Amino acid sequence: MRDMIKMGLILLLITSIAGLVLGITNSMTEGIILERAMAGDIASMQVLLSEADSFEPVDHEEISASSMIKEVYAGYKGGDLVGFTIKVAPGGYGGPIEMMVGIDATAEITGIEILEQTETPGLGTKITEESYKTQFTGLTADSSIAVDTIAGATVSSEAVNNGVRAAAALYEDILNN
Amino acid sequence: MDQKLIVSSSPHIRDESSVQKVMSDVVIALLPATIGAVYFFRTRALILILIAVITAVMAEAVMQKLRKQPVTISDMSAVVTGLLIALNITAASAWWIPMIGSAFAIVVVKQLFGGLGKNFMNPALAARILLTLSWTGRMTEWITPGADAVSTATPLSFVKGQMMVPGNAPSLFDSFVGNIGGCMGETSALLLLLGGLYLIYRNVIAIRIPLIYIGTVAALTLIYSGFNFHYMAYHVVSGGLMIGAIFMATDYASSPVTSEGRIIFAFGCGLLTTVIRLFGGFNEGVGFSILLMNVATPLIERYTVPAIYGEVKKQHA
Amino acid sequence: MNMGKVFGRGIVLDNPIFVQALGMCPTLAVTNTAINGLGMGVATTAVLLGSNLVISLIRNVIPPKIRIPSFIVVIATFVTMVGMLMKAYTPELDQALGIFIPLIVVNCLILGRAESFASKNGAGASIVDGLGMGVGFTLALVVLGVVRELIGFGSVFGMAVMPEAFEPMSIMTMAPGAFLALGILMAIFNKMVYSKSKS
Repeated sequence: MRDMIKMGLILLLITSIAGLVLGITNSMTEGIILERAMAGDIASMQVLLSEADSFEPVDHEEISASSMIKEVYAGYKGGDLVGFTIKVAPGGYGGPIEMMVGIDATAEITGIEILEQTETPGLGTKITEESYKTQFTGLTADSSIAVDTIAGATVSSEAVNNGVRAAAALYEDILNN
Repeated sequence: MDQKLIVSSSPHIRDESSVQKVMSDVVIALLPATIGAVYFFRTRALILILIAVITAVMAEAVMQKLRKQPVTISDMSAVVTGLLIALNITAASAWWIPMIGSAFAIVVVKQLFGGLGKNFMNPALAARILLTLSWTGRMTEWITPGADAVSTATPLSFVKGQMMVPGNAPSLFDSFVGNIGGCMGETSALLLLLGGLYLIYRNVIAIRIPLIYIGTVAALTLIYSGFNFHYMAYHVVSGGLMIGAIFMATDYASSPVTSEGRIIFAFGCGLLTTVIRLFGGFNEGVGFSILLMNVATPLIERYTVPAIYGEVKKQHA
Repeated sequence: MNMGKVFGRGIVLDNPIFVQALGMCPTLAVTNTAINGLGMGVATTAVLLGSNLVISLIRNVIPPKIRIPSFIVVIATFVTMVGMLMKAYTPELDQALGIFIPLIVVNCLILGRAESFASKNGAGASIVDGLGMGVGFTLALVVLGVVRELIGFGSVFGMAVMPEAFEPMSIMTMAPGAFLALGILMAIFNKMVYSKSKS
């Protein structure tokens, strides 16, 4: 019995120290990681809607209710609406794929950006390649959009298709009105 | 006295067959399909076949020299592997496709694992899968038979994802004869069947594996399509099923030796082929299924060891 | 104890990948390019150094019965730290390696060294051992990455080196290519080491 308590206490001590160390590391890096993610997001928005000079978040109960759609920003150029960037997170092969879809005011897709993904390196990660992403550019945003899947990465590329379709559906149903 | 008496365990019955004889029979059986390939796809087929066979034989000789073993290229087994690889690629292939395929089959799959009879999977098929995964675009660039070859699709791509044969697909008769797009040697079910019958007549292969394999595919596609016989027949004569079932699933080294095991093996091949064709990402599943069952062969054999005469059944506690 | 010997053992005679065949999951999964192999190697080495040092320091206070959970907690702490630091300072590499960074926890190389070396030796020797094993692991990963990237993408460390006409052999970037390359490299490595140690 005494042994058990002693071992428990030692484990408790080790885990407490581990927790403390991790807490310190987290507080050191959290800000930088968030900043990088935000900077990445804004950079992606700018890439997708290059004309826009300011972005405003769009709020709608459809958006907050959906598990697929994360954030929507409207891009303006001197007060005129030029388009939307829609952040979606479809389920891929190795977890959710965080990506952003840009749709301009004429319902044309301006491009997609993959923000975060944990797909299989070498296969699923092909969705981040320029030659794949540009296939979406210029398509009209409607809910039947699909580009050819990548051989060997069917799940990952279907996920991207799903994400783009969800963004297009949101545009058709709500943003366009 | 340099002649030693050989003492060995049974069986003592001697047979005329040798590796060379068996392999020569396989080459003869492949001749109709080979001639068919040259007829359908002209000189380009002939050149690709020659490259594949010569590379295979040369790779075999070089590897055996390196491994300090007697060079046995006259046993024809490398010729068979090379020929099968050539028949398993599209006639539109670049010259280096059969070369890499043959070299990989002989060097890696066959010789590195110990040579003839020691390979754990069919060398030609392993090469086909390697090539398909590496150069998917090139390996699925099908062309029509004839002198002025234009690109086309294989019959299987028409039925992919369908419950019935669409109207614009090539006719069943063309698929059977081989007047369609596809790998050089797998287009003509008729010529492959001819070769298969010869092998069965010569006792080189038992009818069991091809029959059960093709039968399983037929039965499953029939059920899937709601008893659409046209759809079933289309699946049976198209793609690599015939060449796979007759020439590759029956490979001595990589298929089970027990008769029960062969039934399981052939059924597994048929099941996997159908599942991949109907639900998988690829149009064709013959290659993957045979390789997967090749890998499962030692396991199948372990569970199907026949009881030795006089052996007492183990008592299960 | 001869420190030079401890260090060299991890690189050649006891090479974690080519001889011990430890940590096969990241070895096969992330070595599709040289830079990924290098990143994974350095991250693993960092974890290995930290865990070897800490475990050798606390080895006398841990009761034998709970040593494995204690080791795992130490290792997991270092892995999480490395993960956070990489996310903050090398986001691109973190993206490329993805899930395999947290999976360093289950790399048997690290627990293996903790169990068989750090828990029996002093801090100095443990650091040298961790460094040797880490460098051996990294070297093997980079060699594997270079071979696979060269054949599978036609480049080395992202620089195209193959002639225009070369058509990359994509199987080398996939899992089967990892097995093929690893098997052949392992054979060459052992042949070289074996014939050297015999003469």
